[in-house]
Amino acid sequence: MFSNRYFRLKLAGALIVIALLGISAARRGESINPALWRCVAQPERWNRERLWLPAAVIVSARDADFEIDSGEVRIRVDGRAPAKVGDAITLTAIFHTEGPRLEMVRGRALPPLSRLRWLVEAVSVVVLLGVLANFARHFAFRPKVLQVEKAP
Amino acid sequence: MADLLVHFASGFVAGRPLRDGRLRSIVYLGVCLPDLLYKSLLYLGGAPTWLCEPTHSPLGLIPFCYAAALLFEEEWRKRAFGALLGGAYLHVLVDLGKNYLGSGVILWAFPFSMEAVELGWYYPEDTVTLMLPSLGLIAILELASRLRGRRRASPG
Repeated sequence: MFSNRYFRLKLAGALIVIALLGISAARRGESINPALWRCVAQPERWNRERLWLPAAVIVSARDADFEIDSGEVRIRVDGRAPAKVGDAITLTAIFHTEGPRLEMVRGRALPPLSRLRWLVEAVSVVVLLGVLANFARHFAFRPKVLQVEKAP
Repeated sequence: MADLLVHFASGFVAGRPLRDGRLRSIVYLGVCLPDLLYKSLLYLGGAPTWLCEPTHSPLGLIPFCYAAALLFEEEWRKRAFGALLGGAYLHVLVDLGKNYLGSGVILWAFPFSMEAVELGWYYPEDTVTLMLPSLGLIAILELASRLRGRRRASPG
């Protein structure tokens, strides 16, 4: 399985499996947490689909519903607002064609700490560079040059 | 998903006891691999998020790690595959603990099922507060292993 025998065949096989996984994910994965703007753009297609909104701001609130701005779309949400107007929230909801509107399943206010996401991303890049540098201390990538078989 | 310091700390705990620094470096790379693949597909490849999901699924990671292991020289491939996959699975386990309000984070049986699961132990933004403890853990482990190495090296 790991020998040099049929090396190209094994590598090609692994790459084909990766491609097939990609095709499978592309064909069956669309319904995994569809973006809100897609639901609003094609309401009939996404009716009663469950989605997760990582971040949105409450722009207005009433007793039984509230309105959120996701940055791309403003939409009404059925349910009690999990925070006050102006606060950032995250929620899971079911999309409904009528309106269109969302029916909140679970929601919570995002703490101020969530604004430091950029810091996590920046630190992650530094960590990755460190890991790659450590790897390069132990292993060298030396592909063979293309060699001419014989003179014409 | 990109909270590599926390992931690296988990990989450091698992990998530091390994005596071979070369094997350790592959474990550390394996711990970063799921996010490296995910972000590469997302930002460099312009792929939609659902196309990137196999990079965070247990079965989906096997061909990625196998293909990567084939790039090593022959006698290292088996170990490289084990270290890469072990590191990547550790990453998936840490991500599995996240709380996405019940929407799920890991496609545990992809490609046979599209069901996403989560344990809900911590919120994604908690990784900001976990950064300092992660650094502390790495420092303590490194210090302990250096002290032990010095004790072994000193005669009597």
